[in-house]
Amino acid sequence: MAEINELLQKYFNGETSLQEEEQLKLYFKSENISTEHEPYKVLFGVFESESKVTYPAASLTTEDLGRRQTRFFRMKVISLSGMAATVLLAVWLFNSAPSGNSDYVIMNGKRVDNSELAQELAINQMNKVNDILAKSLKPMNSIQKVKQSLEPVRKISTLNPHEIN
Amino acid sequence: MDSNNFNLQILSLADKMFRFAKSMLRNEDAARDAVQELNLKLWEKRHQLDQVDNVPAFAMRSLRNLCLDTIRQTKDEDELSYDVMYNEPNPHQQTENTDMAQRIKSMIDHLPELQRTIIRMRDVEGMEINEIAYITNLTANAVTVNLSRARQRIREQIINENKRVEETIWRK
Repeated sequence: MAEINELLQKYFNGETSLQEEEQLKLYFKSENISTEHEPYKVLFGVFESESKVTYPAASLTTEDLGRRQTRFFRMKVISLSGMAATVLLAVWLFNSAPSGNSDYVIMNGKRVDNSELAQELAINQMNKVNDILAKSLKPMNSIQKVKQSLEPVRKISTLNPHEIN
Repeated sequence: MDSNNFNLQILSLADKMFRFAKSMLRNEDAARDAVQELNLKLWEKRHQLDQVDNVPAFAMRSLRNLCLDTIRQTKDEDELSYDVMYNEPNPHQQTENTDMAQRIKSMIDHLPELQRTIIRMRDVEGMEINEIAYITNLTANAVTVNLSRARQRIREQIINENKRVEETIWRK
């Protein structure tokens, strides 16, 4: 018993070798255990029973792993393709969206984004339109003058003969 | 590493790996997932395994790192801490849970992660101190210290448990 006591002391101090621990395991498996050592019998029994626990699923094989790797690779390709498509779509939407500068003109089929230049070109174009309109309305001015000149004649025709008398 | 070697050196460790992961994670499903994930990762990198000196020890070390990542993630998601202290059972629990073996398993499960990993690697798997040191990335001395602390703690709890049982018998 003294030897077991000594071994137990070494065991709890973490100083036993694997061989000495094997000796203790054999002792606690036996029927001749001193009553003072009874409390530790269950402890060694727990270690023994835990060492028999096995992997609960069917044993893995390299074929299983090969199949899973292929499946995993496919999933990876699909997810990466999806991510790439999303990125491309985002880039396309970003480029096709109107830019922050809304002042632009189309000159000879080309877009001019420089806002100052765009405004200047727009004003020039509007001035030209204005000139055209002014020229177009010039004959109308002449007609207006003729109309004003003929106004007394129109009044004569509307005079009441009784009022003249 | 070819398929045969992979079977011999890694897949044959499935039971040991499962026990190891279960001890760390304290959850069978999570332990099974961890073993599968590790095997798949090692299979993908099987061509690099030829450069590793001790493949089984390397696999166990990788499994420990994987389990530590899982524990960290779980701690982030779950407020409950894994490393709770072992609480002595109340009288109701004492009558319900009289199985000393279950109590001792619970005592081991409630040890800090490093201590319960080391005590099981040594006392369940029968690993050498140097092998445990490699897997846990500790010095041999640090392994011995942690092993001793774990065993002493379990001994104290067993003694206390026995005292309580004796007192209960005396009261009756």
